[in-house]
Parts: sequence; C-alpha cells; structure tokens
Amino acid sequence: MGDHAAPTLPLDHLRVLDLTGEYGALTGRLLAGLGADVIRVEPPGGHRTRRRGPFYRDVPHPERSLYWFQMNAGKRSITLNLHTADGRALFRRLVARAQVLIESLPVGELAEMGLGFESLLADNPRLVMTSISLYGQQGPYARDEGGDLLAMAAGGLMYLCGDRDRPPVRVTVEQGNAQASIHAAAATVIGCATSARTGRGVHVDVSMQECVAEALANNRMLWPARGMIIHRAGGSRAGGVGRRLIYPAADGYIGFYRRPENYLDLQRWIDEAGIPVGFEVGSWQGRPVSGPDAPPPELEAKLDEALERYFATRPKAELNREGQAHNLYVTEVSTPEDLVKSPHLAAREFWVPVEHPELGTTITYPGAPFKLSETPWRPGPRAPLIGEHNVEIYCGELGLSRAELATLKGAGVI
Amino acid sequence: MTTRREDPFQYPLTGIRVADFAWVIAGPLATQYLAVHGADVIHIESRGRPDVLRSGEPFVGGPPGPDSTAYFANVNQGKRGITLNLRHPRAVELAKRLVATCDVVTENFTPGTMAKLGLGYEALREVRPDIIMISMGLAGQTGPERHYKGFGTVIQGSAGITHFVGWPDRPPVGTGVAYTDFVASHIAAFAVLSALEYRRRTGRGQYIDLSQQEASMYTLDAALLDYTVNGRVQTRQGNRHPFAAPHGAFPCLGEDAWVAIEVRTDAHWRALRAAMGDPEWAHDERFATLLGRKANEDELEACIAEWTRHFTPQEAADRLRAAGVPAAVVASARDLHADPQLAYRGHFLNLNHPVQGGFPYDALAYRLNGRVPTPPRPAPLLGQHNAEVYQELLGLSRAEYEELEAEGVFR
Repeated sequence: MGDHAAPTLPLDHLRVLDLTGEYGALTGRLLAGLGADVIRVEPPGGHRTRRRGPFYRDVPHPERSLYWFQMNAGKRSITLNLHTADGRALFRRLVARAQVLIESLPVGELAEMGLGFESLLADNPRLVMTSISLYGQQGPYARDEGGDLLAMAAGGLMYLCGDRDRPPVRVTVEQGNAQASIHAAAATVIGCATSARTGRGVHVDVSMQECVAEALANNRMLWPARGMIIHRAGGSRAGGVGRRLIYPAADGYIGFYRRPENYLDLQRWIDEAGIPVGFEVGSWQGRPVSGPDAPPPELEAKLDEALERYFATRPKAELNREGQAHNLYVTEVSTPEDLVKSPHLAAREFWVPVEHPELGTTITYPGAPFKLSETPWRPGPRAPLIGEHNVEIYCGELGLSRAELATLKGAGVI
Repeated sequence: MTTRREDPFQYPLTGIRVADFAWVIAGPLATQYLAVHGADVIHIESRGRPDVLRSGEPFVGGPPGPDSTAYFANVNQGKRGITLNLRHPRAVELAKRLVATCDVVTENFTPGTMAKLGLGYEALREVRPDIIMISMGLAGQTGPERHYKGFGTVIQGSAGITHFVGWPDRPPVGTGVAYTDFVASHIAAFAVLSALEYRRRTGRGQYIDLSQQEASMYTLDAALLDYTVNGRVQTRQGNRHPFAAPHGAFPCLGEDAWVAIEVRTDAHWRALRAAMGDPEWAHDERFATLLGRKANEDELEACIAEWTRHFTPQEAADRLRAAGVPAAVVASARDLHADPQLAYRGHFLNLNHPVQGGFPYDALAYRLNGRVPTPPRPAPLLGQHNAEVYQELLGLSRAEYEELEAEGVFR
C-alpha cells in the first residue's frame, strides 16, 4: 500500500503490523475498517487466540474461531517465529516498510528479543509503536500477568458492578480488552499525527487499568471531593442516589431511568395505560432526587412496585415503544438475538454479509461502528487463514525466493 | 525555546479548531482527546440551558454551580467555552461564522435539530466546504428509533451490554454507570481523527453518523457471531471464564473488600496453592486439572475465600503477586487514589482550575514517548471565553459584541 496517489479510505496510507492478543485485537480491526493494511504476524501454527471459542458450528479448530473472525476481519496474516534470528531479521524488514506496530506481548518481551521501540527506530525512525498492557510499560505493577478481570478490578469498574449480596462482577463480554483496544485505536492515530508533524517515532503506551478507570462516570471523583465511596447497587444506578434502572418485562428486561424532568410524562403514561399507582406523581416534576425537597422515598418505592407489576405483564419491545412515545428514558435490555432481529438496526443496514469460501458460507457480521459519508467502512474480507499471505508478502514484497521460503518453513521460522 | 503550546510532541493537533455543540459525556469526551493534544476546541452552551453535566456532582471549590462541577471539568479538559443562545435569531449567523473558522463540528442533539436551526451539514458545508461534522445520536440519524431518548445508564441495554452484567441465575444489572458514553466517545474520537487524516491527504471533509448503540456493540466480543452462526444466545456468567479457574472476586478483611484472582495456567494454580500455604484441600484430585476446577468451581471458590478473608485486599493481592498469581485489589474510589501504579503513571492530573484548584482529573489512558498527555488549560467556566472568541476570533468590534450581549445573543 504505502503512498496512494488517490486515497479512498481515511487510513489507507498505513501499513500496520499486528502483534496483539486479547487486548488490542480490536485495534487493528478498527484501523483495517478505515482502510489500513493490517498484517497479523502470527507464530507458526497460528496465534493462540484462534483457540478461543465460540467456534463455527461448535467445532473447535484454529480456522473456525468466531472470536478470531470478529477481531481479525479485514486483516492479512503471515507467520513468523520471532524467537529465531531469521525471524527477527525479517521482522525488522517488515517494520521498515510499515508505519505502525501494535503489540500486547508481555511487557519487556520485545525488548528482550532485541526488538524494543528504541531498537526498531534504527529500521524505521518514524515508527508509531502502540503497546497495550494491563498496567502500562513501566511502574511497580508493569510486569504483572493478568487480563480483563484484573483490569476491571484494578481500574475500579468492577467495584461498581453487581448485586450487593454477591461479589462484584466484571462484564462477561470483556470490556477491559475492548476499552484498551478502542483507546489504542484513537491513540494510534494521534501517534501518526505526532509522527507526521515531528518526523520522529512515537511510542504509544496504553494502560488497560487507566482505560477502565476513565469509565467510572463521576463515581471516582466523589472520593476526593466528599470522602464518599460508591458501592455496587444491583440493577440501580451506582452513585449518589441508587435510582433503579432495570425492571423485568414479560419476556426479558427493560431499562428505565427516571429523572426529575420525567414525572409529568410518566403521569401521562400511568393514566393512559391505567397503571394502578394510587397517587399522583406529576407534581414531583422537577423535584430533586435527594434531600428534603425530594419526593417521599416510601412513595417512590410504591411507584416502583406499581410499575414493576405493570411492566412484568408486557413485552419489552412494546414497553420500549410506549415509554419512548411518552418521552421517557426506556430501553430494551437487548440480548444478542434481539439485536440481530432489531428492525431499527435492519433499517440502518447495520448487518453485513462476509463470505467465508473455505466454509462454503456467508456469515452475517456487525457492520460499521459509525457511518462516514465519503469513505465507507470496510467490513471484510473475512479474517485471514494462518499464514495466508506469506507468499504475497515474503516473496512478492521482500523478494524472498520460493526456495528460501521453503528453507525458512523447514526451519520453523515461517 | 518553544513554548508548550507550540511543542509538536506535546500538541500535535495545534491548528485544528472544533466547534463542540455536543453535550453531556460521550460528545465532550470525544473532543477532549483533540483538546488535550492541542486542538482549539470551543465548547458551546447557553446560559439558559447549560450543558446537562454542569449540574453533575461532585461540586468542588464552591457551592453547587456550573463552574464548580468536577464531573463537567473532567470531560472537557483543555477546551475553551462560550455561550450562545441558538434560539436567538442572530445566533445562527454567529455560529456559522464560528464554523467557518473550524475544521470539525460535533453535536449530539435529537436528530434533525441542527438542520432545523439552519446548522445542518449541508448548510455548514456552504460556509466551510471541507468541514468534518459528527453527529453522535443514541441510535443514529436514521431508522425508526432515531428519536429515542436516553442516557448511557440505559442505552447500555440497547447496546447489548447490560444483558452481560450479573449472574446467570439472576436478572442482569448493567454497569451502574453511563457506560456506553465511555465507549462511544473513544470510538468517535477515532472516527474524527481518522477523518482529519483523510482531509489532510485529500482536502475533503465528510459527515459522520455515529450511533452510540452501534459503536458500543463492538465491545460484545463474538456474542453476535455466536448468534448469527450458531444460533446461541450467550448470557452473563458472573465472573466465570470459559477456560480459567479460579477466576473471580474473593472476600477480604474490611467492609465490602475484595481481591480478584485470575488463574489461567497450571503454573498459576500451583503458585496459588503455595501462596495459600499449601492447604490439604488444595491437593484434592478434583482441583488438579482445569476441567476438574471448572467442574467443582463453587467449592473451589468457597475454599479460596476461607483463605482470602484473613487479609485486606492489598495484603492478599501483594502476597499473590509475589507468588506469581495474577491478582489485583478490586479497587474502590479510595483504592484508586492509593494505587501505586496509577500514581507512578501520573494518572491524576492537577490542572490548576480557577474554581476547583488542584482537584484530581483523569489523564488519558496512554503515554506518548513516556509523557502524560496534558491539556494546555483546565475545562472552561461557563462562557469564560466569550470575549476572546467573539472579538478576537470572529472579529466583532467591542461595540458590536456589547450590543449582541445586551440583546441576549450570548445568554
């Protein structure tokens, strides 16, 4: 790729080498979606995250991991053993031809192989290297092992999540990994802007712990401001007032966030739907959620009970529509099935088909995370097979002969 | 010597200007990236209707008010702030004059609001042909749910995240914070920064329709493909992990005090056994393998809890760390402020805020060549930069400025 005469996508001037694991896998996916040429550099035999389930039709196989599919669509793949001298020499040649390297190897591992940031600048003085780790590249915990669970714990979000009578919980779909990947994508583009301005290399050092710590809304700040510690509150809002957020519907759950500006609209819904509350709530409009002017807590609790009884009889999609029609902050608690079947997402053409010729099928993927008017999101092609682009890159670009490629394969380098 | 503001390493986005009509969290946090890196981000509010977050606690350095809220100040670092009453007939013209000097426009009003004001993308392109505009609706600018209202506290439900927080035998609980704001914001920053790269190379701007729901669905791992391919509806699993055990939070000494332990390998398991003093129960055959530990996980967790409850979270985490077991304090707000790693990284920024003083704000989560990205100024007071933006940037004379002010255009 390199310099295009006529760019068609925002990042199609970037070649990115991708050495990430769970944290950072989505970074390359986002960069590739905007046109970057992202090359997965896998160990011979394939990257370990190919072993992560779920699998296509539940058959565990490195070419059937749906996790791999999701995180690596749009990328290319080569295999390379960095624990060999030939592997490291080839890697340096690849670095020289790239603009960006993203990695989430254990802290210090690249440097110990002689491939640290300072050393790679010799091959590419303008390299942008994005390192993603649990705690950052330096500091007392920098070399600790651990993944998503520890990031959610050490970053403070886990403390705010879960039922009060059980331990704090993380989010089952791994938010520490996702946050780190997303921050790293934005930071990598900042790194490229910095490199372009200064003509110098940039090392972007992302801490998963800090990514999570930024997602605490105002809860962290209540400690230095007021000496207040917020605890998890089940399906209620953590924070100053534990306003309930989640209610059972007939076929699942809804979210309903009641705020001071909602009581007139809520009264209208109560009247029209005939919800037996037994008292007026419209007069609570605009009253604060706590303090002497707040609506009486025992009546708020009774209101909650009446709403709960009503919600439990109605399908969540209908409650969502009705609540929104009354200007209330009601949402469905959507399952993956609800999302895939959502008429709204269908109308926005969110879902995209991606062909998997080896499986003889086409798989429906989530489409663009945002819609750019001039430069459409690139949803595919499907994630690369192990070393699928070895010949293209080693022979086509680096000029190795087929015989040399065979030698390197035999020696376990490729 | 270059001044801080001109140092390209500290401020690579110097020269970029943003008209920031976006409010609350997701929008402001997205443009905070740009401000921290030197872009001139001008946050636009009105005195009649200040940014919703201006009323968000905690309040620091004075009674509750728009200038003492740390919540607002934490997500608007580095920006300038003006007030402009967009309902005033003369305000739209001024907004366009501002946009003509800008590279990026952000907004997250109800879809269609900007167009009704005469500030839609097509109108703004007339005053600035290469403008990049991003709309950050909850559900996007099109589709039957585009008018739906909400906050990140409940939109995490329609993004599929709430469903994945909690225990499999209980209702979902969600994250308890306005979570999707903290996903969509970073993805929006990525989108805008990338659009700026495209414009740098082609001279062309564009319009970005970002739906908070769709952007946040990118955090669902392979759950969506598991449904489209295998028809499986994945659900919340507490703290359980498909191929690690033990994997969870364990009770410690103290009120609501917990340590997180993440055993992924046999070596971790042996290290955990040793750290606990090699108790007899831990040599039970049933716990020797991952499959065994997964099959007997309730009992395993109960046994480990008997050990952890003799220590504070910090003591337990330190002992486990020293033994080579992945572990961390389940940090409360107080723990975060005592965390040696965050302190080492310089995570808490003192920006010398005129009202809030040295109150600690969050730094961005990365370092560039070892440096903490630090904004050139704290968040703006309400309307703090009216005079300099309207007079110096837009070229109003002092008399014109005072006339418009008297007419209530800047209210």
